[in-house]
Amino acid sequence: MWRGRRLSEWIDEFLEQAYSELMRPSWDAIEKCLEPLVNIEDREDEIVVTVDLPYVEDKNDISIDIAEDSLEIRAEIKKAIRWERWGTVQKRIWFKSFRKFIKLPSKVDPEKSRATFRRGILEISLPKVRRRFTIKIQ
Amino acid sequence: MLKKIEIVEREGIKIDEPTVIEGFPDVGLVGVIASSYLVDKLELVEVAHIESALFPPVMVLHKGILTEPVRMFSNGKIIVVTSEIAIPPKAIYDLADVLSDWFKEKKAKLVVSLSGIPVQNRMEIDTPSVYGVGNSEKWMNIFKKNDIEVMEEGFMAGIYALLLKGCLKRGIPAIAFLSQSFLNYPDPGAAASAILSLNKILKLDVDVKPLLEKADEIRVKARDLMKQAQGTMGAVRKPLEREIPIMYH
Repeated sequence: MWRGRRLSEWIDEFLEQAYSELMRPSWDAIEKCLEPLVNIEDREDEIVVTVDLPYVEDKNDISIDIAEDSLEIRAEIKKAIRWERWGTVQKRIWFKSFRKFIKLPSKVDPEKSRATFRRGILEISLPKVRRRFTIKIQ
Repeated sequence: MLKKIEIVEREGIKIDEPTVIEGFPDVGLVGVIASSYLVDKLELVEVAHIESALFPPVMVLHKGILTEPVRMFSNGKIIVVTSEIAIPPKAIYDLADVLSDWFKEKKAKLVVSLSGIPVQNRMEIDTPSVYGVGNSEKWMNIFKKNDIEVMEEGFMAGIYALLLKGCLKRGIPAIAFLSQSFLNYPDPGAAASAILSLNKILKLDVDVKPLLEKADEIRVKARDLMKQAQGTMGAVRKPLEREIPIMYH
């Protein structure tokens, strides 16, 4: 019964998170920023986050703030963007940056993290905090 | 009452033994980006749309005009099928069946699917390679003659896999071009490579330079559709395409 309740809670939480991710607009009219597409890969020793940043030209236009359990990315678009043929709301706004806050699936070591930026794709490798140790059999 | 899947043709449309090109939202949105670009460059007009009780209750507005999200465009000789919504996994089997029947009815001489194949090192690739898949052996030689690499081993998943199978069952020649692509990001470069392969086989002359010049704009505008497609790709086992099958025969 206890295990069943925990599982259903986990499923509810998962579905709620997935639903809110899909339902959340991919832009913020007040901050004039766009939400970039993000991919999070949970590997054995590290978490690899990649971010699609079109129109971002220089690595110096990107800031990455890493905490043990989260990550915030901001990237500046040098020449603000807007198109006549776009959504009714979006086409009235000049967007000038990307911003994304990511909750990480496990704790990482911010100081050992590293990032590269190539072809408009930012890749951040975040080593996990090691909690496992190899022991000898007595 | 809305049927499970129905193709609704516009009146007075003449289509004669067409070549069909289809691009649905999946890996890197390669098919959608390429097919939308072809509609524009080949100056095709809307000839039909697809209605379904299995699709989300969505209509699309373009220049103030209400349209269906899954549509067909043509000039009489070429038909392009494209979608502005991710196809729900529960609709894929029926959609592939209905489309294959319709292609048979229209005496399609060839059905070409455009899609992407996810590669992890896409960031390091300047010009994505394209792999050809055919629903009969003769295509191996045709691809080789046209310098298109044949996909010899691998899994295929999603609507184009079912369309290849559906066309095979109905005796319609069908191929797929799979361009090396990002899995989860819109990839106009991969779409351009797929169009260049299409140029070779269909003897078209579609210039991909304007597409590449608009790559950043497409990447921004396609974010929402990519998010939708991400939600469905897992359900149709898209990541399986990165794996290798075990059997030799």
